[in-house]
Amino acid sequence: MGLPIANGNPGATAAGTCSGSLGNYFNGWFTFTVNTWGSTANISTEWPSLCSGQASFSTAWVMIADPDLGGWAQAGYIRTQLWNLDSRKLYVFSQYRRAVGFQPITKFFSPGPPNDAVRSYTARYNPMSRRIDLYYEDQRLDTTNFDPTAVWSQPWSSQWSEETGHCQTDVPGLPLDRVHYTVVRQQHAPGGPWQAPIGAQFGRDCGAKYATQQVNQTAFDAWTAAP
Amino acid sequence: MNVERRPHGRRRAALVILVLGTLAVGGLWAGTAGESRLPVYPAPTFLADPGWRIEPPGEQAALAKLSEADAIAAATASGDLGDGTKLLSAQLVILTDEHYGSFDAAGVFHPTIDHRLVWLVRTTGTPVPCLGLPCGPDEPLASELNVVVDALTGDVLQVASWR
Repeated sequence: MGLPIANGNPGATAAGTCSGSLGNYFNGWFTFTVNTWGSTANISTEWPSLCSGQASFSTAWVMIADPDLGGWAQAGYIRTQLWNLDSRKLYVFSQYRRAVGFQPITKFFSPGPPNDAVRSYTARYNPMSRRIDLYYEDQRLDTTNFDPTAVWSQPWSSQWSEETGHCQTDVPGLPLDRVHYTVVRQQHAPGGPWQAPIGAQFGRDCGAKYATQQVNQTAFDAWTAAP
Repeated sequence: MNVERRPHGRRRAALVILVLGTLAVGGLWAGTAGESRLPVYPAPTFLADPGWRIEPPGEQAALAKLSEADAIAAATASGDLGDGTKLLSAQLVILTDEHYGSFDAAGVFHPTIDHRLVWLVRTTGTPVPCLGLPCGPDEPLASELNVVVDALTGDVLQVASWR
């Protein structure tokens, strides 16, 4: 269980001072070898601490991406000062990019999920519209401006991960308040049934700072091991 | 210790004051309530990337409880605008987000932001990094920020960038 905040947590544990420029550091579960057309999961909400000294971000999300990872579509929650957002709040967000060289298209929505709340996030190819739809619960957040089948080649990558802009920033979750990814599933055919991930592997940056642990075939925990 | 740090808070406030002050000196404060006092960009009626349908407010402009200055203050009150940000415009419009919403049992889409009277506050030059994967140092990064402020409540309903 996380700290008792509705949406905003001025009493959160401090992270360190940001080092280096803004980057992308991951802590999650990934597939690269099986055809996938959608990724979904229920993700619990925990308040992450951001490093100080420059703007950073901390997120938890689901994604489908093209094999060379130049394009992607994702939905999740985020805490950041970037994009002129209020870092006293969590926001729901969606972001997608067609391919290398294209602008990412990003939307943030308020209010975000309350602390401790479990919410579903989904990125899935819609065979009717031939776009990727991004969902928060039953709300469609956005839909891509391109048909991924025209520019990406299977197998796409399914990803369920946390991410930060600096290794000194915490991913959501602490050793005693882990983030729970549950009902983790992927689609192996366009508009097909949701199934347990096949060939999922953990990936983790920043050494021992972050941690993951598999719970079962469709669930894992993720957290900051060394806050 | 609280880790929220806002190194650009003072600069952000200065930006708003500078813009508003410059416009005031330039004699552009003569507009009536609800009328934009910033340079108005030619808003298209539909922006395909975010799925935004934009309409002029017409008589609904009189319903706005937020002035342009209030909307700009709400849109720039938090976060990190980053170096080089310019406040470009604030427009009172009727907005429908045709991407954001839910489908009913019959498959009919119901936008969450549906014909809402909002202020669209736009900045350029705002750093907009990639999430999910690195954008790469040589790649174009979106830098236009569009903040949707409810003209009745002052709530920031959505923040979006696509170029």
